[in-house]
Amino acid sequence: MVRFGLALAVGVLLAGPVAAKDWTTVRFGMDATYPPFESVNSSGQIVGFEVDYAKALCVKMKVTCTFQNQDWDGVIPALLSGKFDVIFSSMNMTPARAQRVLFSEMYYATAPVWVTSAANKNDDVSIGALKGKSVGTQSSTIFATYLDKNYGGLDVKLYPGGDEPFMDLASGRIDYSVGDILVAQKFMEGHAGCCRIIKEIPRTPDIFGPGVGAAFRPDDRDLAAMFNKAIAEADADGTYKATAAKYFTIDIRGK
Amino acid sequence: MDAFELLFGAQGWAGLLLRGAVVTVGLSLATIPAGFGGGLALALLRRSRSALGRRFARAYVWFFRGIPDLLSLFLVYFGLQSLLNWGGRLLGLGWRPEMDAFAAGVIALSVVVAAYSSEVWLGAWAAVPAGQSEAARSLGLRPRVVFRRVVLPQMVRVALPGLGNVWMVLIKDTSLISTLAVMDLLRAASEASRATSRPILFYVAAGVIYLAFSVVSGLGQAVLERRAGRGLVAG
Repeated sequence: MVRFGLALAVGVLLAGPVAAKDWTTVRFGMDATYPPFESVNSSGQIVGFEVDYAKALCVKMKVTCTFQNQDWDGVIPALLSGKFDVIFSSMNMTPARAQRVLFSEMYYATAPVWVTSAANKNDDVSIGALKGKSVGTQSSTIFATYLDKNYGGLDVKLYPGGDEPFMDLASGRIDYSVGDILVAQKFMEGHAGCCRIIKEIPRTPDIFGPGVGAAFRPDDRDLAAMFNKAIAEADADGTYKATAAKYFTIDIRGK
Repeated sequence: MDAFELLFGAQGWAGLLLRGAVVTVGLSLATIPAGFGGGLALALLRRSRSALGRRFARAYVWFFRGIPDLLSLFLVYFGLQSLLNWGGRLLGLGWRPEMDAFAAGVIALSVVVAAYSSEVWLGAWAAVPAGQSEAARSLGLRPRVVFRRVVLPQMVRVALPGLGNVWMVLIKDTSLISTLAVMDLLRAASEASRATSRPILFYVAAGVIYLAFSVVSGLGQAVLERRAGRGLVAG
């Protein structure tokens, strides 16, 4: 009996701190500078595809969800320090990030693109052609890594927000930008005649990773498993398609 | 769209700006007790008999006046949360103690304002003639009572203009909180300009509101100074 009690006590001690937390509320962190995926509307709420999709996943996981805005540069530190439980913010699952966070299954993949002003007729984006030109992109992104790896020595301006490079492109402060095709298209909707997409950039896995996933603290394996199950369910019952159709005309699911 | 529509139309941003303004005022007011109180405590330490206390207060003021306020904010926001997490784990708590961005902002601003205002308090203390506390002590009042009833009220009168300055700095420093995604006045203005591509309109609007705060603060300060100067003969 004593031995059984002891075993029980040890078991409880061991199980106690590592026991799966009961997730009733999941706090989402997003950098809401990235329409149509996430942006702030005039009521101060975060809206966009990833918000709608996250809410659909939360219904499937039977959890309450809250959404917080967090600048992109600080999004991983904020996750790791416990400000929220998941990054759901168009984060591409690069090998470098995978060393710090735990990723879910991929839930979308889009193409990175080169963008320039409508007036610029030059389609050549080789490093030689870009000499003396300024290129802007969001800092701490796959786009910044791509420019860093392939265009060393180029004048690259790094912006904290996802839509800021396009704004500066429209105002003529920079000549080129690298960004997400759908974000670029969304921006061009609101700024007709400002810019044009030159071409897509092939997604090399070392820089771009396979696509976008949700990011968790490495310990929260149970939460990642819940998300993966919900992602699969949303694919199977058409929830994903219906949500995406509200925002996009093309298929962004990837595989 | 014209400016009026962008501000006050159905999808207008004036509501968000006003809510941001309320957050800005709330942050500033919430910082006062610990900020000014902490400054007074630091001033007391600086003039205490304990060498350790004096050294601590001096180092504290040196540190937080020397680093950018934005850095203090980050230290508190990220550092304190990690500390809380670590403490929670150490105590074996199943839940994670949380600190939201507003609370982190109040704590960080208090930390900074305490450092700034301690200098004001020290200066005010020095301005109270030594004869005042000597006279009070000679009446048999205990040191604590001497400070609270005789020295402090006179300090407040001298400190008010300086504290008013710190307050103005504080109102503007709250805009640093916008980097923590708290929807304060500046953040609201930048969200609006981001969504509408009309930065000048919304930043000017925010500037007007900040200036309105400074006018109101000036009036409030005048009232407080008159009150604190009651019974004082000019000259």
